[in-house]
Amino acid sequence: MVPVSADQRRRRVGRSLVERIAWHRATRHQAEARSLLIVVRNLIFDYPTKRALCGVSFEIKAGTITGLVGPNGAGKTTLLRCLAGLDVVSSGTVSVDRIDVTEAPREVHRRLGLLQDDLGLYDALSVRQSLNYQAAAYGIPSRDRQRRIQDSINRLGIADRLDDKVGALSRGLRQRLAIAQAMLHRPKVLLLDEPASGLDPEARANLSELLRALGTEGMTLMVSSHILAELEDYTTHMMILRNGRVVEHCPTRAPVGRPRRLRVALVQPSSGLRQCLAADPQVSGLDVEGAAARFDFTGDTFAQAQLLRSLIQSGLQVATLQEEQKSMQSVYSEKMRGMKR
Amino acid sequence: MNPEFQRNLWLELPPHRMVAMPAVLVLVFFAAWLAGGSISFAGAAQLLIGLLLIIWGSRLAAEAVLAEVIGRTWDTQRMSALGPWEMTWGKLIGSTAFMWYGSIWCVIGFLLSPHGNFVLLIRLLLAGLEAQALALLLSMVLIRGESDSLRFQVTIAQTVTLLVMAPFLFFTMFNRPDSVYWYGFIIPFDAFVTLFQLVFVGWTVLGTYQMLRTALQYSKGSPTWLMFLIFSSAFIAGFDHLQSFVASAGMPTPAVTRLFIAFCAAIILTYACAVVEPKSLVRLRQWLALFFAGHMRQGEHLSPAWFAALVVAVVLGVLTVVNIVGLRAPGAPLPVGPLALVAAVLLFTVRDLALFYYLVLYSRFGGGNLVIGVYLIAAYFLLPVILSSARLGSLMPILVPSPSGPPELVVLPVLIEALAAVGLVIRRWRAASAESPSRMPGGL
Repeated sequence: MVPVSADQRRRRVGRSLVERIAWHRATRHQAEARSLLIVVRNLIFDYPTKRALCGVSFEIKAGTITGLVGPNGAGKTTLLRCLAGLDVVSSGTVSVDRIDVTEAPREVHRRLGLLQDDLGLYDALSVRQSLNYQAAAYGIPSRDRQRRIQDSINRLGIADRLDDKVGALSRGLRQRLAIAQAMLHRPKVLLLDEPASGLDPEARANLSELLRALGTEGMTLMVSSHILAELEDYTTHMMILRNGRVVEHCPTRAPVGRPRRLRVALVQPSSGLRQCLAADPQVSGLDVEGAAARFDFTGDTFAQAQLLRSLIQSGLQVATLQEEQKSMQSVYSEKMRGMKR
Repeated sequence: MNPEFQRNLWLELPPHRMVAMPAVLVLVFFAAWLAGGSISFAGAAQLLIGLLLIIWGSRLAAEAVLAEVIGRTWDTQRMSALGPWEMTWGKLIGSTAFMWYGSIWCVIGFLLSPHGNFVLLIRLLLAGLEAQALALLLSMVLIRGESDSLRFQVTIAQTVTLLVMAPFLFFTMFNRPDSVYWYGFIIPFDAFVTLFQLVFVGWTVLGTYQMLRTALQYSKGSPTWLMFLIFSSAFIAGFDHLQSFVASAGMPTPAVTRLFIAFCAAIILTYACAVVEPKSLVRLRQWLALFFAGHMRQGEHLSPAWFAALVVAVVLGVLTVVNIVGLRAPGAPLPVGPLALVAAVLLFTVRDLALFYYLVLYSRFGGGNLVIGVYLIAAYFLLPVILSSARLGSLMPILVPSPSGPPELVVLPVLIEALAAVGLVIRRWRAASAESPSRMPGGL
């Protein structure tokens, strides 16, 4: 056995530590790459007289719900159609579940459901016939077909409408049928173009609940909509598209482990507020203005309760302590204003 | 069962229709029998089969895909797991199931009549299938464009189908010769027509299958269209009667005359494609980009149909020229007339194609096909008539390909026109390139 000097041992330990860190990093990158379900690079799409998408690039992780927003003509529908492989891109690449949409569109279709704004239903068929046709057209084996249909109709609440003609259904019920059809083959990704348009408030609430449930189950959703307040209920990310470009793609709420922006307001200004907050190791980015202060807080809700307690114990008259969330509407408006300037 | 066929059966054959169709037909047959006995009975059955399968059936077949596009269900179908073959027969037979159901009752009526002609019956049924397959194929061609008037496309598909079927129906039903002279063979007319119908149905179904295969994104090209062009040119060149039509072209031998007829057939197909097929700027741009990048195979499905037809025409034209030159006796002068004619036909075609694209893609007039129609009538009918009336017939080669006249008059003017037309298109293409968000391919 070759004797190993202390220096060599130290170097070897050092190297193995570096290697281990590199390995961990690589593994994390691989895991992140695996979790990327949709990857779009420099996507360009031209209509005869207009460029609809101008070098769009983004990534979407599995299990997220992305709200796709933007003014009319921004390219939202075109983007969804390119993701679904329905339109041939002028240049750039789109991959879904690591499959190139241009190279193997049929493979992508098996993993993807698309709900277009006009729904695309056969009005002359009954709900039962529509679902049977869709299940057969998607190649669902006949032994599984009725079970899948039953699952979908129970979930969408249309089990009592099976014998109704599709043309006789309300917009809300047609919407539910269209979603049931799009989900029959259990896609990994569901793209929805303006799903809430024309729905009454109750139907919209039901839709939000359904989409939230699908997200919780791990389905990746991309929802284009004009109704930002509603998207806020269930989206994890927001993507703003304007003139065929992505101008913002961000999470709609801070992920677990990331600092949250809190705002505390006192009844009257106090010099003790800054001292008290600065003393807490979980507080950073402190910004005191009069009787109020804003800061980033890394603790959870229990730590937040503890912070509140310590502020009160310090003799400060706390009026409110709350998480400061920018609404999608405010982010959208800010971005749009920024673009116009 | 094929899901597409099943869906069409649900839509086309609900119980009330299944009862109504025979009830109406029985009334019509009864009225025909009262009017003229069994002869009218058979005639009514024939007429009804024609109406149901050819007139109404071609409409339904044309709607089979266009109605999906209008109803926004086409994308869902494209994303489904349905294969092109399932779609082809599911749509062809499924969308016209009601017509075939009615025809079964007519066939029963026809067979009950002692005056029924069985061969005619088979031919009528085949003609129905032909019309429907052609209408479906044309509707698939028409959805390749960027037109918003999809309802109108149904009418276009049906009208073109009926125009193609009309002469065929006239010759098979009313003006039946005893035999057909084809490549020197004397073939009984009935056998020839029946065989031709079967082959025609085969080609249209194969064409529809190929179009659906492309629409469903299964493949990016196939040799089907090229094979059809070669087959059609060879088929038309086989008719011995056509030799006398082109006798004035002065081809040296019957074999070269056949080659010249095949060349003319390919030219006619080029024009037909250029007029009927929607001219999509996006598709053209994508195709040219791939073409100039050397990816011709990948861009095959994007190429306009006239391009392959023109390539076949050029090949046949070159073969004709090679044969004309090769067959002359040693020391004999070059037969300039036929050579000039072949060149003129090709140059007229290039000129017209360039002008079609100039008019349709870049003109501000709109209504592309209408403008092309007016242009063709003016160029090949009105102007020659005016020239003849003005006793300037010697200048006719300037306006139409002519076998007579000095070769320089046959070729030079049209060569200048063709170059001018191509230059015009390139200029407009460059202008459009400057306005367009993306650079035009090919360095243009």
